[in-house]
Amino acid sequence: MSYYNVLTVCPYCGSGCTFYLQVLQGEIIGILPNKNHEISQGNLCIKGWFANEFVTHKDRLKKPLIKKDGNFVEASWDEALQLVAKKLKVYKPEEVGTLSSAKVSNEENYLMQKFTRTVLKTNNVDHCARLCHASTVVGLGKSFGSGAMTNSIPEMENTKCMFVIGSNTTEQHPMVAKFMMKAKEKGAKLILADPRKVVWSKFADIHLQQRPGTDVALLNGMMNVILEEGLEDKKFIEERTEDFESLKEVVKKYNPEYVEKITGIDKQLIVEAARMYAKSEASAIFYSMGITQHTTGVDNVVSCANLAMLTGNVGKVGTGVNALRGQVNVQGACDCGALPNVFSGYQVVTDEANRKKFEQAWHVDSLPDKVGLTVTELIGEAAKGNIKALYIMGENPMVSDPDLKHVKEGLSNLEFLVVQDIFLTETAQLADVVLPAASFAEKDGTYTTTDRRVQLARKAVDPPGEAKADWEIISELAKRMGSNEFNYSSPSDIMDEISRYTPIYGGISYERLKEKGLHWPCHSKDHPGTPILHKEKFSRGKGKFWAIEFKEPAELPDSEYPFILTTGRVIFHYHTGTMTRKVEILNSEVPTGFVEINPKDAKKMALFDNSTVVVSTRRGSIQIPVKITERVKEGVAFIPFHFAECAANELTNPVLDPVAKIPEFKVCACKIERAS
Amino acid sequence: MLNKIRDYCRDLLESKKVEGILAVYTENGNYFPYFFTKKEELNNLCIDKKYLLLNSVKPLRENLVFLLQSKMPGKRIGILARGCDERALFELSKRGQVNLDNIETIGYSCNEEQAKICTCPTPYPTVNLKFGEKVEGVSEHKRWKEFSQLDIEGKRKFWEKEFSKCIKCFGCRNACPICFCKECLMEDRKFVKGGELPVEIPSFHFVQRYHHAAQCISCGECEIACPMDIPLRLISFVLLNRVKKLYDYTPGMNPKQECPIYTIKEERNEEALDELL
Repeated sequence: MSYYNVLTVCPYCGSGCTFYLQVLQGEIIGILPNKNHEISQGNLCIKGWFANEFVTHKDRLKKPLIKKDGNFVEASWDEALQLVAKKLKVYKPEEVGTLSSAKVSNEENYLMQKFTRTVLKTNNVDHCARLCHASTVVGLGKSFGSGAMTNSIPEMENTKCMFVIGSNTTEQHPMVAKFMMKAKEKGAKLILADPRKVVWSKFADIHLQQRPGTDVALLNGMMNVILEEGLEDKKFIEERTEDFESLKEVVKKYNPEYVEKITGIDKQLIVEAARMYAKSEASAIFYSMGITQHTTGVDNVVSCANLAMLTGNVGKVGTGVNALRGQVNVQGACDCGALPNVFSGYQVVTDEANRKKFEQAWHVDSLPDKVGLTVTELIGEAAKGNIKALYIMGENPMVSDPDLKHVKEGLSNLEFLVVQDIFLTETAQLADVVLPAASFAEKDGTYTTTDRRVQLARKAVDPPGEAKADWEIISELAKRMGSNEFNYSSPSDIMDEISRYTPIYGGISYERLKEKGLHWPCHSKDHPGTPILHKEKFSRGKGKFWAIEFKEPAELPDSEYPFILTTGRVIFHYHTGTMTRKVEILNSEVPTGFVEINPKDAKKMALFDNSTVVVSTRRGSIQIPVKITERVKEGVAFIPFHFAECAANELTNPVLDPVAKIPEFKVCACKIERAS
Repeated sequence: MLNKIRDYCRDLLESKKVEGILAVYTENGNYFPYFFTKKEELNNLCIDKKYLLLNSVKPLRENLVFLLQSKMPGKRIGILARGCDERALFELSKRGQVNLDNIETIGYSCNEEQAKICTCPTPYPTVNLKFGEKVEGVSEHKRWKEFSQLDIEGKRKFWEKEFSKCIKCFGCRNACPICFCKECLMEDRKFVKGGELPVEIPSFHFVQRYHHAAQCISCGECEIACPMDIPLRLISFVLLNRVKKLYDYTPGMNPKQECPIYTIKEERNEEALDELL
């Protein structure tokens, strides 16, 4: 008789909880929270508590599938991989691309970009960070020199003021919210800027309910007040930053009256919020998709950085600009180079020295020097016929990407699509070949949390049927395509290679991670890790202020489409629902999607709670039950995007931030009609 | 104490008196429940870290010991039990969830520090104490003073605020060793609406507390599992106190005493009832 517990990392958000998988006679029977972990502390959210349920679900993919005459037929690994290898070889480098995944390990992301760059010979590799925090990677990079969360989660228990803008933290990062709640109980102030009355609003000292998409104006307005009242940290600005004058010049006109007009927030509240943030001895900004998913995503992020630098709230305990990342390994996927412009550790591909380094490391004659295409561009180019084949690992663009009709056009227009996943997702259904992958519980690997903590996850059981770990599949495929550079015996082997060529991961090894995680940058084997960035100096030397003007979202309400549609999530589900919609208790809580509208709007249209409406935009329309609630203001509608049968992304606007290429998921114009 | 316990467990395994021993295993600074079957592994057995061994396994909604016993019918299982483990065993056996006849309980006491962490009134096994000395328990909740001074409106506001923090993780239920109902009242839409935060106040939390009025074993796992530090056991302490006064019953103390709500015998203390009313 055997009963034991295997310590692993929760597969959902980026908070980085770890838990034990309970294994009885070789079968996973349940989950135990880890009592000996800085973030978890014996706690989990509802998704974490039931994270084993999808692992053993009957619908798991167990054999490779090849589409023949429109139907999937089971195939052997040999046949499936041979076909994929043969097909992918046909195309020119600029005609193929890969989507890596924020749900798989660092090692697997590293291999996917290595495969794309050395075997497919293109930089066309990207993943869904493009849809969530691409603006953070660019924005914080521009301001501070490092595009990641500046501080660590547990220290937030001791912050004195929290400014939460565009993050529904209690629902999306429940274990981060835990530390924020502890701070609140200890007397810290909470300023919330969110168009919706999310759960936090009840605990907020100030709730700024801005019109969606007006964050730059709000942030400039707060900086205007701070400068008018002399609350800025002059010493910090003088010693640690540059280009302050240009910022000062621009925020001049953003006085509270002007900002009230743009944002719809009472000017007095703006003044109070600015004072509260600037006067506290340690203020921390927390943000998420509400800041990043806009055509002004980078502007929003940079404005948050401006505010933090203006008041000297960087590089100290309980401060910082804390980008909360939504997926278990979205930080790690970026760190490990699953982006079209950088190798692992953000070493840019356009730099010849970097290319030389990796050419030597990977024993190839040359590496592509042109920046590749992003997720959003790959699909657009597929629709135009310029991208002919895609290899997608653990992503579901058919639910997650904006304007799904267009996504379907793009994917259907491909000559060859390979999807590697644990379930037959909406995207996998369009594939020519489907490769069955192992889930988090069935392989070793490391994952990097939102606060840059690299943690070890361990295999508890074998994958179902013939499913294999992603690192094994990629390696096998690379070998079949003629590469000798994918001979790894274990994920630990791959991590050794990552740490050799990735300075920020230089000191990371499986041996060191056995006990607990390490925050990067961790340059050498004796480096203790770095929970707080930019302590004595910024990664780029001096912190840089950028003067940012407010710009309206791309699509505003008009007489035909009078509502602002904003999208988001609920605590009970995760992303495209591939995993959480296989879990009974989560489906019992929230079985399907809904659109939130204000009671006054409901009254105008004579709608009852739970009646079905048709929500339409210029892209498409969906039928969906209505939820009448004060959570949204008049004129605003909210839809969670998890649900394929009433997919918010049929409606969203695929217009992009010009630099980060992130779509504007948070604002578009829609109309709502009663279903006939 | 640790070495004595390891020796004792080694004897049990060597003499084949038990199939294995459920206890806490430690390696690389981490620790977790484990079923020890080989004597070499006993070097990893630890007693200073706590995981309740009788955990209720979700989503199966069965107790771990129930599952072990179902896999090994008729076989004897050792359990290295703290006071709370023993109390859980007793209450579960009264409800047909575990078979005490096939369990070898190796009891040991907690120290005062551990008792404080868990707010444990009885930090030792009352029947099977084999190792360690009984130490004084903690019978007052850390927030009782603050709470008890509030008037009725103050108490209402207190709970309103505390329950508003809830993120509906079900941790209080999932971590409870004596929760095993297949259909849970906390998921029953008659009591609690689905899919929304904040949760239904106060029914979501109260329904569980009342359901456990005469079976809560005061292990403290519900509060440890709560990410929002909701003082759930303030309610349980009041209810347990009333059950004690009315029926002279404290869950988990005596395996022979029937739980008052499972008996038709009328043994209620009428005077105490009058006082309460």
